[in-house]
Amino acid sequence: MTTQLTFNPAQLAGRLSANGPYGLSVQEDGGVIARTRVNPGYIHRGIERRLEDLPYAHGVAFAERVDYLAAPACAVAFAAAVEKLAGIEVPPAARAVRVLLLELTRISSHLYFLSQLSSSVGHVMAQQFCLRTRERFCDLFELYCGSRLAFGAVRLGGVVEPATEGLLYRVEKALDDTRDFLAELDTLLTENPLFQQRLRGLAPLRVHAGHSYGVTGPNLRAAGAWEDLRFVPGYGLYGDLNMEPQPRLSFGDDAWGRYMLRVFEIEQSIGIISAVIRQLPDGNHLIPVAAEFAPAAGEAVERIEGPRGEIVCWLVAAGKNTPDRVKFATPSFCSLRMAPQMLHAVQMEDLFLAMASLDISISEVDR
Amino acid sequence: MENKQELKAALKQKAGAEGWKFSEQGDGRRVLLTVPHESWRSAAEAASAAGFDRLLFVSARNLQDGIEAVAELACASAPGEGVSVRTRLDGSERLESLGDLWAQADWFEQEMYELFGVDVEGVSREEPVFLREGMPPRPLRREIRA
Repeated sequence: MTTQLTFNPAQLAGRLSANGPYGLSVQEDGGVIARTRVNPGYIHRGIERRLEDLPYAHGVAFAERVDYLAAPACAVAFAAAVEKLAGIEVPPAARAVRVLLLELTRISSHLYFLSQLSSSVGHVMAQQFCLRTRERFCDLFELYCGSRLAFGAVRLGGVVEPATEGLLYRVEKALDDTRDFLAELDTLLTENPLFQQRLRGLAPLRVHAGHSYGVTGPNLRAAGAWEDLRFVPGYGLYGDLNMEPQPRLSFGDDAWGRYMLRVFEIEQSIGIISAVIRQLPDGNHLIPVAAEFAPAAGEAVERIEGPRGEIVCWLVAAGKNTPDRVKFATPSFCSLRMAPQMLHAVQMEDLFLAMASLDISISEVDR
Repeated sequence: MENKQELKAALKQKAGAEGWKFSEQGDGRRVLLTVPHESWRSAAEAASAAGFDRLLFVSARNLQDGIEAVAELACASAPGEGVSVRTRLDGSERLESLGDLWAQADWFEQEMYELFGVDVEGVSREEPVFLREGMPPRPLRREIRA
């Protein structure tokens, strides 16, 4: 006998593992999911429409609202598209601070993912520990620009403040604490046989299927596809860093692999931040851009590796001081589109654990 | 990695044979392929066959006298390169779906239908996915904005 279960957005919004309001309609047969229908669209905020009314300089701050868990990545994607269009050369010091912000956000976002996963298996202590460590990063953002979620830290032509010695000292302290936390996490989760049992084999995402659905980022990399814009030589912000090539590792295409990959990426980001701090260039952090600035008519596409995958910003300018069209294509959009296929044959009790393992931010699906 | 210049040249040749408009943007790393709406799908297929096989998004924008649908494609092995397939619409045309070429395209097409009213094969008219009841239809169309 099959049963149809419908979860409305109010029910899902209250669950940490669901990460936002959307509709989910599940048909189960004997306790196993046979068919799923996902229904986003409950928090459409008209961000792309609103950006068409805002001057470019204001739009950068507003673009952060696309994803509150990856605010600087969205702002950098928008700012980089405008800068490409207008031919603005961002100073090296500002580029380094942008990398710093993106990597700190990646750690913060992955810690949030770990807290969701812990919450979904009922490990409240691990959840609290993850959120406690994430708070350290929110404190850093607050110290840098006075805000903890949407920062307003990225400006056209650079960033709002230079990285001071005091800030870098606090960043290094936070990274040390995070290294300690990762050791703690091994005991709490990674070596926990029950946690492993729940995650291994759950909701597999094959590389080929991921490609056909446009999935990017950690969800795809965990399965062995090492597509990461940060490691493409000479491409984008990270092109200055002369990074080592990305090692080819596969953690597994299941929820366990997605967990392990994110733990690995936290360590990787710690390494990148330390390298940026070691070679932080001196000089200007901002090329001032006038509030009424209007680039010539044209268009640009910019791609940034955010915490959940590629954030794409398409910008069309018509020679005015506001954009003619702005479009964001975000990684959670493709992951959520693929979710029904991955949930097929998953046990009903693992539904929210499987969804949590996809690290979907509904805020970027529904802009 | 195959030579992108050769692949672009092959795409340019195909565009010439089909009567599509082929132009390069900026430093020549992004190609704009403007086609009639009947060739929308075959142009996307041709770009995919030329190595631009990652769909970044399908969307649209307002023109002075109509709408332009856009499918942005990228190359997995060369992230700086891209092809933008575009077609001009006056509102009555129906586009072929790209859903069987890229599985996520159907959601992009549904979003384009709900935000711009661009009709694509297979979009749901009765059950909106991205806009709720009470929201103004086609909110990104220029005439609605005015």
